[in-house]
Amino acid sequence: MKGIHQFVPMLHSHDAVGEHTRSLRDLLVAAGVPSHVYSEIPDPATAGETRPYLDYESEAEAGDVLVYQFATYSAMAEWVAARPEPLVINYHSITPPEYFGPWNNAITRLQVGARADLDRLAPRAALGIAVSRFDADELGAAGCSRISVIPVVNVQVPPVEPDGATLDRLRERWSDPGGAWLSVGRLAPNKAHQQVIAALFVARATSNPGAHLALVGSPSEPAYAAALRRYASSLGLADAVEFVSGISDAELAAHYRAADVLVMLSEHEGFGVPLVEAMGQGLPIVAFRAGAVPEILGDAGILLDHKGPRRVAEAVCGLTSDSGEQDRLVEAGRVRLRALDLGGAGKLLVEAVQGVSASGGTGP
Amino acid sequence: MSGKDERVTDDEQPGPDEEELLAAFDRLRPQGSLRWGFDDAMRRVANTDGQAAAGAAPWEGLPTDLWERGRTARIGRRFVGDVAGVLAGLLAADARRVADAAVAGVNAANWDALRYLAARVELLEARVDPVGLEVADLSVPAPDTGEWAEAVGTWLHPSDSESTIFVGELGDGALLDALREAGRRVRGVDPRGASIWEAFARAGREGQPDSADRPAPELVFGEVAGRLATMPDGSTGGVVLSGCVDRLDLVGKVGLVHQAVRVTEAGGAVVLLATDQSAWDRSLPLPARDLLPGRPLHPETWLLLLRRAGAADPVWHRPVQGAVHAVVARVER
Repeated sequence: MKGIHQFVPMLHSHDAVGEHTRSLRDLLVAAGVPSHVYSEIPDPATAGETRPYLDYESEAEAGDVLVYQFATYSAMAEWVAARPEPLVINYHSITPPEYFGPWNNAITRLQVGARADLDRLAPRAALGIAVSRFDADELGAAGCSRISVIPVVNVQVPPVEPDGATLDRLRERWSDPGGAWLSVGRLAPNKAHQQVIAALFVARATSNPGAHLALVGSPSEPAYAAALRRYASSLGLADAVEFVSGISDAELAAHYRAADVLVMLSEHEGFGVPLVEAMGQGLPIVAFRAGAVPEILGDAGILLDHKGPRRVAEAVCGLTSDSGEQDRLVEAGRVRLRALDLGGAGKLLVEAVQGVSASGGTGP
Repeated sequence: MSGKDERVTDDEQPGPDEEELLAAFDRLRPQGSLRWGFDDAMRRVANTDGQAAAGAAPWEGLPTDLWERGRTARIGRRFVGDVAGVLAGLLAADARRVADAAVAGVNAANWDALRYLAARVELLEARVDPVGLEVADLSVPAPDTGEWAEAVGTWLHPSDSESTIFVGELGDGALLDALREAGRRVRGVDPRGASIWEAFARAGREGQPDSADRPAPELVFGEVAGRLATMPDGSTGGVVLSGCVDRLDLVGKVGLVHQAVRVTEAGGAVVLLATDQSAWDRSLPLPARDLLPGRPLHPETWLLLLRRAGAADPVWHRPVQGAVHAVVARVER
């Protein structure tokens, strides 16, 4: 029976691309379509769920469709490009290598390689699936001629219920009115967490001495993460900036629920999952206009064209001291979340890849 | 602030003070460190496949800027240690010669030379920074220089002088405020962001930072020694140093005194506000006391160092209430 199989360099759990890949596999299997995940490198935590990609050569069946989950460089890409089966690229955005240049040459080279992979694969794809119009533009620029925009499928709808004990603990600790800033995203240079710290510093020096920040995200670039800690320390904010990682979805939900504002100054976002998570938990948002942020956020937050520390501090403190405005933005977030229809994304994704399968690779 | 489709705010770009705040983070990037540069270069040199060969790396080729990185290492001292920073300057010439040769003709002999050079650097790094601790990670309280805030003004040039006074490390800001109150033009430098921003905030709160009788201070977020090193000879009316004079290692302290005397104009003064040795020992956590590269010198030692740096008639003022000595010397040309 012809199947729809996914190829991902490494299948990570608690990772946006990894969870997206697992969700799609489960949806396909639930729809009665044979679907396996093949990887270049096994992750010990998910090794039981993946097969070595070269095994596919002996397992291929006529009529199969291959879905390549694309976010970084992989030696597998060249092999995939040479396969005869119809190819779907599920594109999750490539963080531009320039961001990693000052921090990690190895990652920088991987990202440069990823761009070369994209140029190789995009013209070959029967269908490109992007999670945002921003990503769709990148796919199109790389030569993909048929593109669908379908949001991520791994955002839980309805939102996860917060962990009660964590929520109680955070509310007790974060008792300063309007002082709880939250920033969510892996600690990587494109996320510009240092600018949130700088803005917090200005806010404390000028208008809210009790303001503090929880930075929730895995330290994916250790040198950058270490620099963030040093920066906070050098600004006298060691006790005002908390670095949080390795928490459950329910604990993360508690952070959203207990905070006063989500501050997101990222400079490159293919989608911006924290935005929709914050909307789901009723948390107002201040964000920088970059990447897919404007199209995901819509009018459900304060969008900044400039992010000088003083400007960000003013925007955040202005918002957290205006309960009417907070209520308005929270309500706008709920409306925006319904409009994004993330609950329907899985169905759209399955239909899109099945369309390629049904057409024999000429398109959905 | 509201828009039809999106709420957009569009204000001016960051001011100079904000840029200083953000630049402080840029200085923490490992690209500016000699250690990182060598490690990265060695990985590429050792891996001789096509991807990593000289000039073939997709992001940057073999670092022909190795010698430039040596220079930046002197600025990014927190990463390589003060002594390594000085040595970086000496090694820079070696590194440049070898790197140039390696790029000009890729061969095993040149690569071997680079490896040996890297080994030398590693040995030096291990000696100057054996535990890998950084000053920023250890709690060092800023000295309380308030006792001398008024007196410092009398030790400097006449108050009608237009010359700028260089204040190296701001502490609680009392000294800076006193000099500004006396109508002095002041340039304050501090590696602690909190000190700089508290000074900015105070100047802003006063509402008239640009008035003629209280000129706005020029505030710089950075290392004092690095800033002094960039200033021309005789370019400032006086230098007042605190904090760094306690914390730096001996090489750094000697360099600091020479730089302070060099940049002070004829007739100006160098003022060192140095913490009392026993007070320093009492105030620091034990690990910091043991592991910090430097500790305060006795005022007698400062007198000697100032004389050897070319300053005239150095005088030691003992504290009456606090734990900070003042050592003052004039500069004559």
